[in-house]
Amino acid sequence: MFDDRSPIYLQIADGIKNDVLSGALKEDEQVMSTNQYAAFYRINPATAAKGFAQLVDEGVLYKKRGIGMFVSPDAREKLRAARRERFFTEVVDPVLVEAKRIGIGVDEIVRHLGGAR
Amino acid sequence: MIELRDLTVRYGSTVAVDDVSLDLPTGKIYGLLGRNGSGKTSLLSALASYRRPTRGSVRFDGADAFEDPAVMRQTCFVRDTLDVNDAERVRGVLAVAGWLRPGWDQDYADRLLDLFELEPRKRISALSRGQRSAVGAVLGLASRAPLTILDETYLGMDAVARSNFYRELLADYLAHPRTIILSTHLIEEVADLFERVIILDHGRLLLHEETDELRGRGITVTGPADAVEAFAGGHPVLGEQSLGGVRAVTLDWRPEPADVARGEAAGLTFGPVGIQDLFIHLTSPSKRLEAIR
Amino acid sequence: MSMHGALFRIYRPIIIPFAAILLTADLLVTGVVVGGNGEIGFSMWLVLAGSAAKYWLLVVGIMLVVMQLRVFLANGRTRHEFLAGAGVFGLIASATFAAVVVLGHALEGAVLDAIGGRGDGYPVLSVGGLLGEFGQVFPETIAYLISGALISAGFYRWRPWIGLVVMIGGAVPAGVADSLLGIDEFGVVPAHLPYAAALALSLAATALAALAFQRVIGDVAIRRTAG
Repeated sequence: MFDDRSPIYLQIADGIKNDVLSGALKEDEQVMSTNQYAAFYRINPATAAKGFAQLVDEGVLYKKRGIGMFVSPDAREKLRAARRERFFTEVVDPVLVEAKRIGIGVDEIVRHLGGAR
Repeated sequence: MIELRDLTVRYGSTVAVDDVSLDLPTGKIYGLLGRNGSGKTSLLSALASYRRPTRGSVRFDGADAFEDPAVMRQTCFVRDTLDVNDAERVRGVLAVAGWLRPGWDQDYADRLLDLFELEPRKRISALSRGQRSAVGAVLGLASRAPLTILDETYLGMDAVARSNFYRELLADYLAHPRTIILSTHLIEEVADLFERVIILDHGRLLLHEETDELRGRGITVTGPADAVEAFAGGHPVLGEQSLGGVRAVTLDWRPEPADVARGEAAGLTFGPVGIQDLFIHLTSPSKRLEAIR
Repeated sequence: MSMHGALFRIYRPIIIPFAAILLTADLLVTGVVVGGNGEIGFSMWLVLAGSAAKYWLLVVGIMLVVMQLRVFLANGRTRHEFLAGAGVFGLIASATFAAVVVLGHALEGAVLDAIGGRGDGYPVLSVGGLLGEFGQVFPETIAYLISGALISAGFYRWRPWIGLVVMIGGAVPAGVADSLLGIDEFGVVPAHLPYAAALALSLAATALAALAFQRVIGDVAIRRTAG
């Protein structure tokens, strides 16, 4: 489930963000408690708690005292906006660099994308 | 809070634990790592008051732990050799724990016996290595001691038994939070359970760190020798290898994504360093060996 | 459960068969002698139970160190708590064994009287003599217990050659008690000294050894067993 490449709490946060983006987690839906999460994925609960705390900090989740944690109403929108911003710098730009390195022109890429549509 | 202050354990002229100071906040799961002979068991023996430190002290909330009944009552130290009467039956060993341990949960012990497929009527002397470890696991978990120390309580267990043990340990910790210290060589198997990792090397404290901080703490960089050198410049090198003009170094450094992108543009490839790899790099004498060559 | 309570529970399965074996052996030997001779001139019970009580407590003293100490430490007790519990257990066990020796002797005498099998040499035990015999046996059983404990403690803590030195000291209580207070199968005490002096000397040797034992074990490292 988790790998050793980066801190698990970041991987947890990323996993939940992806669930929110894909709609697997709906807005105002309750997420697992840190203990449930820790038992399910067999990780230390403090690590899980750190991942959840990060999501609360970023506004993806919100806490209801004594009940649990829920997906923020605007989480999906916010995440989508942030990811869109990063899409060109982190996804498209490296493609263009690689394309240039091996001699593929932008026209060719556009034609390919047109075919995929 | 459990504190080790300038702890030294010496056997004759052999120094097993060398001036270790450690603060262990309670309620966490700790992983104690170290190579054979690094002093893990000696450290744990002093921590559990099985042995009086040669120098220094172990303190629980400020009070010296040695021969303190209240501290002892809260401590459960399970050694790989087990401190039980070998001629006794499994059931008898658990019964003694039940008489003496204030927090003993016999129902839970019975469930664990089932889980590990231990025959209560069998004598300890008739158990296999893995079954002995399982008895240790039952004693350690069902005692519910506020400080539970398990010293390589997995020896001889098969993969299924180990997996059951880790699951039970975590589940019982979640239900009954307490301080648990596990010493192990099977780093990859259990690292996810540790909140903090302590590494001993030649009796000295090498590292005490949040486990998650160690993930992705190091990185391997491979590529043309000069490019690697330029990239690595100044960062602590844990290990290196060369083949022709290609060089691979392991760095104790977590680069920013921009650094990685810059490196990749320069023809370098990057690989992760897991906790076990990091441990190997930090504690292996291969660097010395290379120096001799 | 209290420490001595736990110790009695641990030893219970050993004590009962052990007592049964003693009783059977006594009945067997006495029966054979009386059957052959028509009477018996000594107390088989004093031979058997008298020495069994001593040597069994010597072994208990050894086992307390070699086997029970680490079990109690592993179950959350300090060495000093263990020593206190073992002390209470040892006192009760020694007194009980001494009482069993004396009462068994009285019973044996009464049975022999009833069947007319009591020979001339048999040590007759009056009701008043019960206490006197207990006064001989009890200091002996406790001395053997402490001897066993101190001897094994020396080997447990130190290298064998230091253990050997400690062993010499450890043997003192048993030796003193034996030579000053020991009774034979004819109920005869080697009366080198008046009873009060013999008792005082024996108890003093035992107390000193107990103190030494407490010092040796009070901060000893708990050994790992092989395996």
